[in-house]
Amino acid sequence: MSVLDVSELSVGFASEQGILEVISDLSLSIAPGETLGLVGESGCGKSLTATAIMGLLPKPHGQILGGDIRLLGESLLTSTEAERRQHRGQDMAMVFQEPMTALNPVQPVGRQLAEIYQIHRPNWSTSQIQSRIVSNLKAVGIQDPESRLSAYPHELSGGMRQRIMIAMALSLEPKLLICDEPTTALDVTIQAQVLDLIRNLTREHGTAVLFITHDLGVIAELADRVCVMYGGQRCEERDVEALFRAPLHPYTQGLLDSIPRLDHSPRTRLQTIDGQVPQAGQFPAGCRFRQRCTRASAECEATPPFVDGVACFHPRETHHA
Amino acid sequence: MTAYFIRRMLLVIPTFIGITLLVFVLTRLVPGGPIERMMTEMQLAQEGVSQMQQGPERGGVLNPAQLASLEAYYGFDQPIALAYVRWLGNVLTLDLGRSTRYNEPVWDIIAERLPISLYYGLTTLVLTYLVCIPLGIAKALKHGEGFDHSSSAIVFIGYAVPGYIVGIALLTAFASELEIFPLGGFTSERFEEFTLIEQVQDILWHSVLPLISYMLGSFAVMTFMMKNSLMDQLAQDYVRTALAKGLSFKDAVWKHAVRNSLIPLATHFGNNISVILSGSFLIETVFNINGFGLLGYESLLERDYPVVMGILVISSLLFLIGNILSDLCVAAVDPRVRFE
Ligand SMILES: Nc1ncnc2c1ncn2[C@@H]1O[C@H](COP(=O)(O)OP(=O)(O)OP(=O)(O)O)[C@@H](O)[C@H]1O
Ligand SMILES: [Mg+2]
Repeated sequence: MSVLDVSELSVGFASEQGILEVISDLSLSIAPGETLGLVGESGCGKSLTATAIMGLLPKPHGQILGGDIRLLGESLLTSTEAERRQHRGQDMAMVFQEPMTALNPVQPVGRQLAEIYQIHRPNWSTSQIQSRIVSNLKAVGIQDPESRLSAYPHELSGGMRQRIMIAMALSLEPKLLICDEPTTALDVTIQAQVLDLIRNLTREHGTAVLFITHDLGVIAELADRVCVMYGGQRCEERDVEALFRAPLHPYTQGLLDSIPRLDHSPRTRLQTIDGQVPQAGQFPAGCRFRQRCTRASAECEATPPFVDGVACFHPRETHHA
Repeated sequence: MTAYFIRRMLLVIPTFIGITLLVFVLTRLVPGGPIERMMTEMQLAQEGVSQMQQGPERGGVLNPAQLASLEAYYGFDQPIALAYVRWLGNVLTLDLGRSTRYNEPVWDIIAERLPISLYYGLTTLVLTYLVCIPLGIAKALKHGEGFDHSSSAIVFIGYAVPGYIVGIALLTAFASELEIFPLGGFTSERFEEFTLIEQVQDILWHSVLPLISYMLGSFAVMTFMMKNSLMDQLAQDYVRTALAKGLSFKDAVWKHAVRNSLIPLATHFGNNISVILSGSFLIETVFNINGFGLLGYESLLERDYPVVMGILVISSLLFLIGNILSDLCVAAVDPRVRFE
């Protein structure tokens, strides 16, 4: 049974012009121990997908318009708020993009780490919690953890804070870990360390991971499968190797072409996709990529079905590069 | 922290010297200052207008003896630097000169009113925080709902109508018509004869209406500051982190967001304390309270310079203390403030 099952999820925002659908008919599933990479341009709805799964859509405007989200087989949309709270932190946890702001600035990190145990393990003693935190911090590579507990977030570096966030997310060995661009705000060297850490810890515990990024290099390194999103829709979802070897959707091909490669001759211009990303509310009918697509035809005015890992009427088997 | 506090206290000395220097120089420079006053006197004398014709109770005019004592007190015959040092020496020994109006030591006049102003100022301050913080929190949590709108309407009306007008309205309604509260004053006539408990009751009784009038001004600002600050904090990433841990929204608000949202209020504390201590002469007039505001206003009109200077000196000192308290409050709620 898969850990996470998102089926035909639609998410929207209430606005003055009515409800603005931002994510449409998105389906995902992640098996235990599997890492699913979620990629796409800025604004395509990656973070929103994550917050919808966590049940933390911005209130009161963010709304789930349709579909279902199942965690370990149980629907999160029909459960009560109290039941969902039980899952948060315990069965599913999240690491956010900005380690600088994700921690409460006026509380020592030790207290913030202890809180998750106080919520979900109310009968644990303080010393029991303390020793668990210390071993968790050791596991994320923090030296001398005892002395860090009394530190305030501003006294720690970005990399250190993100390690603390990872330790916090993994406190109760959740079945699902959602990482929303966890390394974007960090230096390159720290990025590599943090990625290693996430990979090793989740492999160790067989955690299912939803890893959001727009860095295809990170996906190649970390994910088992990739889901490519465009304009709030899934356009391609396949095994990492197959997708990188032979992307089917023209948008995926465009994305891969825009990565600089060492085996290309140095003077050639970097490929970019022409045109603008459409905003929610201005999506064209049918395939949302069609206005920027070189292969678009009249057919594309209908919504392409998702078949064999791709939602496109003109998937191409071979990658030209 | 302690080191910071000590350094902060030491900084009071040069700041105080700076303020008093400014005040002192002002008395020599401003139009209407003692010197100009003297020249007007002489002109009036030359024009044959006697002081008697203007009536003895017209305080705007000083008699020669008073002028002489003023001159001596401020050292007009001396170089300004020397005069300042001597005056500062007097001030430090609480010798603020004599009031030209009451012919009493200025310190005695101020000392008599200081407790009244401190009582009203501090009570207003405490009550304002006690009401505005919970109200702001409730408004933020119910943002856009009926309670939020109706309380906003009331708060804004209170903000738009000046405190003294509210005072007059309250007096008319609750003191003259309904006779629930006294008509004014700080205490009753027979205050001295009361027991301690009766005295406390009496003071509280007299303060209800003035306190409402005092609070209304700062009320809107503080309530909305609290509300907006909490709404800002609720949108912060760390609140989302807290919710992602499995905390309920209520707990995320009380355990995480509220303390952060108090930081701007703590910063504002110093500002409030000085505004409130200096009082409002209009409210004091309406309620016939002998506080700082009324004293300062009357002294200015009557050109009772020693009293004006004395009030300036004492209020700037209170202002400095208020600022220190404010910094301490900020440091207490925000660990990022380290004052190195
Ligand atoms: N609070 C909100 N109110 C209205 N619209 C919103 C809100 N939050 C997000 N959106 C819309 O939802 C869309 C998806 O946003 P989301 O944050 O999921 O993008 P993303 O793919 O994570 O982008 P990025 O790579 O920049 O993080 C955006 O186009 C944005 O306009
Ligand atoms: Mg995002």
